[in-house]
Amino acid sequence: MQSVLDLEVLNELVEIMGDDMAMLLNSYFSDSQNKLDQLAKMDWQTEQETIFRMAHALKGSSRNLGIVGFSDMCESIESQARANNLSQNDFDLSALNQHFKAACAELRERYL
Amino acid sequence: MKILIADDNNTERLILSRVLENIGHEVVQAEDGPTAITQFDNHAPDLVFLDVLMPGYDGYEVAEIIIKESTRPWFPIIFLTSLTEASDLAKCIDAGGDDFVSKPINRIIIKAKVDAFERIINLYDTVAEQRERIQFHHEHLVQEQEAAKKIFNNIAHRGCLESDNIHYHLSPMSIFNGDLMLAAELPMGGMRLMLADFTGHGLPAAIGALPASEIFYGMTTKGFSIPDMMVEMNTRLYNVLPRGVFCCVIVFDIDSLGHRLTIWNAGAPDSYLIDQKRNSIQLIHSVHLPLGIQSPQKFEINCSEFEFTEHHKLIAVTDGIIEATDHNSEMFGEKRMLECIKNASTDMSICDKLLSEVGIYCGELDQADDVSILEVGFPGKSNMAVTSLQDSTVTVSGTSDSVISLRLRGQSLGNFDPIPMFLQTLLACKELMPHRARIFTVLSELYNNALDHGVLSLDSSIKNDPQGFAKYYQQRAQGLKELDVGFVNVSVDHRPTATGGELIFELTDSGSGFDVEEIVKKENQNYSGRGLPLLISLCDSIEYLEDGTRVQAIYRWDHDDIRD
Repeated sequence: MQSVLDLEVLNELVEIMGDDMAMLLNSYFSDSQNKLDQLAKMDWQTEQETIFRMAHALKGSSRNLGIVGFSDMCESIESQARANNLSQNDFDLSALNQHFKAACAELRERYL
Repeated sequence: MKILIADDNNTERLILSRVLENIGHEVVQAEDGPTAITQFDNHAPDLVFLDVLMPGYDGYEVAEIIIKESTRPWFPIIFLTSLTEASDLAKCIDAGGDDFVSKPINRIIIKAKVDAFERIINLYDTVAEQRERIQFHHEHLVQEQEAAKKIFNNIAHRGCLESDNIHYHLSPMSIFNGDLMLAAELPMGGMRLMLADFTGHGLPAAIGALPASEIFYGMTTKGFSIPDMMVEMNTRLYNVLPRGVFCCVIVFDIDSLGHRLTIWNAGAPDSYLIDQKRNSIQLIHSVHLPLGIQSPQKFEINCSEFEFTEHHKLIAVTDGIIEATDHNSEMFGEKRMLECIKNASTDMSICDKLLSEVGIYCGELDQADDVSILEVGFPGKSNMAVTSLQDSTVTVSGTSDSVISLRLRGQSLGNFDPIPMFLQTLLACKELMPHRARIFTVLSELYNNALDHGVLSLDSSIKNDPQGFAKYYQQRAQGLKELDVGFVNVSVDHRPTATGGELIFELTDSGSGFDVEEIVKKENQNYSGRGLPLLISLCDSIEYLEDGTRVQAIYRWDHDDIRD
């Protein structure tokens, strides 16, 4: 299976966080799940400002954890929403969730 | 360092915290704008990382509040941002940030930035600390100067500078730019003034003022002549002043009885003797090195003598006015000064006129602090009243029954002035203090007559015009130089009487005498003679014997003479 993670980033992160890596991952999992759940309730047409902030946050934390594909998707949503230019096509929550789950699974397997 | 991180993103905040902790910093966290401000107040961090996008206040707003609240002269703020547009980044700096780092967090960049800021913070602290220290020392210095100024002003007081015939300008802190202005009444009326300029600034320039003033006031009241006083002053300054510090001085006596100006300029700018009646100005140049340079063995002083009446004025300055510069750094100079004095009208003092001219010349560059100007007119007839003196510390009745006698021969006549010695000894009798001006006048008139007209056979009528005035004193100096025979005998017999005492002055000289009656008749119409009318008015009796080569004058004093 091909990795969905940037292992170089993660190796450095392990070095930084040491024993707190698990705490960081768990905090990331619950924060991000939270945000994804909120995104699911958003109206893509009227709440683009909030969607922009959510996607921005998800992108930021995911990139720090080397989750490449998922953070790229978040970034694309972020930039469309920021310009108030989001289309239903862009706002593909099932693809987003799928990427998130895959990343979480691999992170769990490698670091927990 | 203590570092505050304000970021609503838990993951990022956790990572950044750990990065900073790993390199030894203490971290305080906040997850939104309001918490960031509370944490800032509670923990007083040294540095703040601010996320731009936060709930509550965003990073820009937090920065503004922090900068307003911080008591430090500078408080470092670094923005955290994943925004990449140049305008977004510029906004971080506009909002008061000092730098920004882009996300995701790179620990090498973070460490480099924090290290750089730590260095700047340390530099700021060092500067602040040094500033505080400098401020402390400065305040200390100002206090010391204030204290020193008080001491200096007590010793180097202005004497009779406030008299009506004097206009002057002297900065209150002049003592610290080395300028000194002193004025004292002469024992026989008239005044002695001195304007001195010590080289340098600050305390070193002020130090010489103490001995100079002490000698000035001490020796002037005791009746010493300018040469005697300046020899003493030069010797003292030569011994106390460090190398490179010296004192330019202009000193002069105005003898209001003899209408005579005796002046000596050592290293000071030209003084201006103005004759308002003849509408002429005479420049009095420096004729000697400043004080404190020449060893006492080499020091020699020759004063110049000029006529000085109600129509005369003398202007003395230090180099401050001449060296005052305009916007182009061009000096005011002696030419402008002379022009200004020439054009001075009579309704304004020349001192004020010079000050305002130099003020206009310099524009807004305020240089009045360095400018000292002394303008002196005729002091008026001397006050020969018997005055009570408050500051007499002499013991009671020291020499109330005594004879002092002295015989001066040949060169000693030119080299020694016996008047101060006689006066000092006589004034050991405290009761004579109120009579000092009269006694001084009687004694010095009698002595000068014996020396000038007796021994040297000078004709007092030469003095009737300005040229003659100078000629008279030239002849006198020449005569004294060549003197190898001749004598003056002075004797003062002080005897107690029932109500006080009497002083019998007896002077004998080696001259050929004079026709007393004719001289008295002549002198009643003319003041620049032998002062006989004055002597007659001061003494109870005066008698010329042996063809005028011997004179006996009696001065009686009474305990009841002292009136307030």
